[in-house]
Amino acid sequence: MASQRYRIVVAGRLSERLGSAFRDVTLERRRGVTVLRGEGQAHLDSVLARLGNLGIEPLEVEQND
Amino acid sequence: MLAATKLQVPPRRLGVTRERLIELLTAGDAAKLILVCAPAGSGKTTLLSEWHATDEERRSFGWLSLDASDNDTVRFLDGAITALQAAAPGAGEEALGALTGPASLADVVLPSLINDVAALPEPVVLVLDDYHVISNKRIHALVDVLLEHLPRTLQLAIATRSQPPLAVDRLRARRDLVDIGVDELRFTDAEAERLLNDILSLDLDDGDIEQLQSRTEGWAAGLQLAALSLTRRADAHDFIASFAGDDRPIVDYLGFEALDGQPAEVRDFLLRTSVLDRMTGPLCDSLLDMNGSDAMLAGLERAGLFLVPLDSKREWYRYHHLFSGLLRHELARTDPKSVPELHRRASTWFGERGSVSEAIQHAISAGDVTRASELISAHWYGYLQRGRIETVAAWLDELGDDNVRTDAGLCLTKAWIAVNTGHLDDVARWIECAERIGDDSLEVESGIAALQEIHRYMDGDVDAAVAAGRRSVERGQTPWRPMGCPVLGIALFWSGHPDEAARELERSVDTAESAGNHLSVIHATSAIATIRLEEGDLESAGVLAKTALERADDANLSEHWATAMSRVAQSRFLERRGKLAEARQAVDLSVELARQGVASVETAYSLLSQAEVRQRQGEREAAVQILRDARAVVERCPRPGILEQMLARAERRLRRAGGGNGHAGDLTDRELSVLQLLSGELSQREIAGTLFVSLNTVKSHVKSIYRKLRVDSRDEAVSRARELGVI
Repeated sequence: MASQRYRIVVAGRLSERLGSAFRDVTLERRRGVTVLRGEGQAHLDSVLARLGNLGIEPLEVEQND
Repeated sequence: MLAATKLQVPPRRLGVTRERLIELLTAGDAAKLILVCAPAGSGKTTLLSEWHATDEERRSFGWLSLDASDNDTVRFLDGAITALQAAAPGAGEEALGALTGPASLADVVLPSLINDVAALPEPVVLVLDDYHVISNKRIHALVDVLLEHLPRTLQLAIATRSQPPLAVDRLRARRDLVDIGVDELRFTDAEAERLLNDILSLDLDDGDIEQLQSRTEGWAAGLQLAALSLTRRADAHDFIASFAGDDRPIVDYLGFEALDGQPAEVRDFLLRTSVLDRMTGPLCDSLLDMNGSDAMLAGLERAGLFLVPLDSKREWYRYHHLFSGLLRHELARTDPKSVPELHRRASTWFGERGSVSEAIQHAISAGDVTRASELISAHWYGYLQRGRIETVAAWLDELGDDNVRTDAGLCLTKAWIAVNTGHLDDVARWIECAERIGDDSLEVESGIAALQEIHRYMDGDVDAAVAAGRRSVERGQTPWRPMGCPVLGIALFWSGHPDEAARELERSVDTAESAGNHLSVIHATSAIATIRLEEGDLESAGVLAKTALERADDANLSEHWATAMSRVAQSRFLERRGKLAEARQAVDLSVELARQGVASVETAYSLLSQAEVRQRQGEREAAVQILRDARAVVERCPRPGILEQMLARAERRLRRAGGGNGHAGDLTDRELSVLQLLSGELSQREIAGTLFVSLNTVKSHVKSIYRKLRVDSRDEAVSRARELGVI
C-alpha cells in the first residue's frame, strides 16, 4: 500500500527560516496562507505535532491516496 | 519513580489575574469536569494555577502535568492517584496497591478509587494538565468510566490543546461541564493593557495596543512574545506597525525576533538545552560543558524567556511548550549534528541518577541503539513487574523492529509482551528471531526455552510445552525461569503425568509464594485442585479450590482467568452438596474466564465440565452444543494430551444418556440434589437435615427418583445415575 499524501493549510506565510526545518515537506506560499505537503500518516502526525508546538493551528488537513 | 515535579502545581508567575475566568471556574464548582481546551500558548496552565491560588477557591488541589510517557495506563493511574493524594491524603491507597498487579483496572482499581473519593469529607480538585499528549485509548476509556461515576467530592479539570476523545457531550447536556475555550482565553483589550502597561511598564498608547490585539487576536503567547521584543526597543510604535503589517504566523515573526535579540551565549544555551523535557542546573552544565547553568536559568526566568519553574525551590524548569517547539525547530535547522550528542549526554546524566525512563528516552532520541538496548535489557523486567508493560512496549516500538532484531534479549522481551497481550503469532515470530541470532548465553537459552514453553502451552501443544519447560529448568535459575513456573507443571498434567505434575506444581507454589507472585500461586493451586478432582478426591479438590479462590479474592483477582480451573473443582464440590444453581454459576464463570486466557486446553476443559453440569441438570441439548464447542477447541490444539480422551468419554456418556430408558431429564432439581447426596454416606434423615426439609419429603423424593430411573434400591439408583452421568 502506497502511503497517503497529505496537505495542510495554515494561516500566514511561513518564513523560509521556519519552513526549512520541516524535512520532506514541500511548502507553497499563497495569499495569506501556506500549504504544506508530504507523505505518510506518521509524518503527518509529527508535522501536526510540531505545528501545534509552535502555536500554529491548521485551517485544513486533507489526506488522499 | 514519578518525578516530583510532575505533581507540583506550577508556581504562579507574574501576570494578569484573569478575574472573569477565575469567576467562571469558582462558580462552576458543582460541575464534574472543567475542560480548558485551546492551542499552545493560550494561558491554560497559568489560568489553572491562578485559580488554585485564588482566595475564593477553598478546595485542595491535586495536579498532574502529563507528558508522552504517561501513555502507559498504569503510569497514568499511578500519577493521577498520587496527585489526588496530595489533596486527599490516603485516598486511593488500595487502588495504588492493586495497580501494579494483574487485577483489572476498570473492575477493581477504579471502583476502589471511586469509593475512597466518595468518602472524602471535603471536595477536592484534580488537574490533568496537557491531556492532549495522551493517545492511548485505554486511558481515555478509564477516564470516561471515572467521569461517569465521579462522586461529587471530586472535580476533574482537564487542560488540553484539542478536544479530548472523551464522552464530554453527555456531561455538557447534563450541565456537568464548564467549557473554557480559545475565545474565553483571549486577552480582552483591558487585560492586554494591564499586562503590557501596568505589569511590564511598556507605556504603549491605545493605538499600539489595538494593533497588537488585532494581530495576535488576544493570544497570550503572542502578547508575551511581543513584550519580550518591546522591552529591548525604543521604537515600540514602529516595531508594532511592522509586525502588524507582516503576514507570517506570530511565532515565526515574534519568536525569531525574541531569539535573535538575545546575546549569543544565551541563544546558544536556549537552543542546546531545548532537547530536554525538563532541566536543572547541573544537568545543563553537563550537557553544555559549562558551569553556572543555575544562574543562567534564574536569569532566563527573570527575563521572561518562557521558562516555567516546576517547583517552588526553582530547581527544575521546563521551557514553555511553544518556546521549546521553536527552539528545537531552530536547533534542527542550524546545528542538526549536535542533537544526538546532546541527547547522549542527557541519557548519561539521567542514567547516573537512576532516572531510567528518561535515560532510555534520550538514548533512543540520540539514535544510540547500543545504549538504549543495554538500558532496556537491564530494566525491562523491573518495569514489567510494576505493571508497566505498555512503557516497555513503547520503548521497543520507538527503537524499531530492525534494531530489536539485532539483540536476542530484546527479541525475547518482545515475545514476552506478545504473550501478555495474547498475540500468539507474534510470540512465535520473536522467539524465532531470538533463535536466529545464535546467542548461546545461558540467559538467552533459558529465555527461549521458557517462552517456548508458554507459547506451546497456550497454543495447545502440551507435549512440546513439557519438553521446552524441561529445557528451561535445566538452564537453572535465570530471570526467565519464574515466567514458565506454573506452566511446566500444568502441561505435565495435561500430557498425562499427574504425579510428576503435582510435584512440580507444589514446587511452583513455593517459588511463586516466595516471589510474592499471587497469580502463579493461584494458577498452580488451581491446577493441583484439578489433578485431585480428576483423581476422584473431591474433598481435597474442594479445599484447594477454596484456597485458590480466597487467595484470588484477597488479591483482587477473582475475575482472572487463572481461577478458571479452581471454579470447575468448586462447581463439582457444590453439586455434591446439592447446591445446583451455585454449581452452575461456578462452571459458567469458569468458561467465561478460561476464554479470556489464551490457553486452549484450559478453555476446552472448562467447556467439558460445563457440558457435564448441563447434562446432569437435564439440559441435554445445551450439553450437546457445548461439547461441540469443546471439540472445536480441542481439534485446534496440535497436541491436547489427555483432553482428547476426556472429551471422547464425555461424548460417549452423553450419547448413552440420550438413549431413553429412564433418563435423567425427568428428574427435578430437588431430586437431583437428593440423588447427589444419596451417592455419599449420609442417611436419609441426615440428607433431610442438609437440605432443610422433612424426612418425609426426602422419602417422597427418593421414591420418585427410583420410579424415574426404574430402580429399586439406593445402590442401584447411584450406579444408574453414574452411568447416566448425572452424578
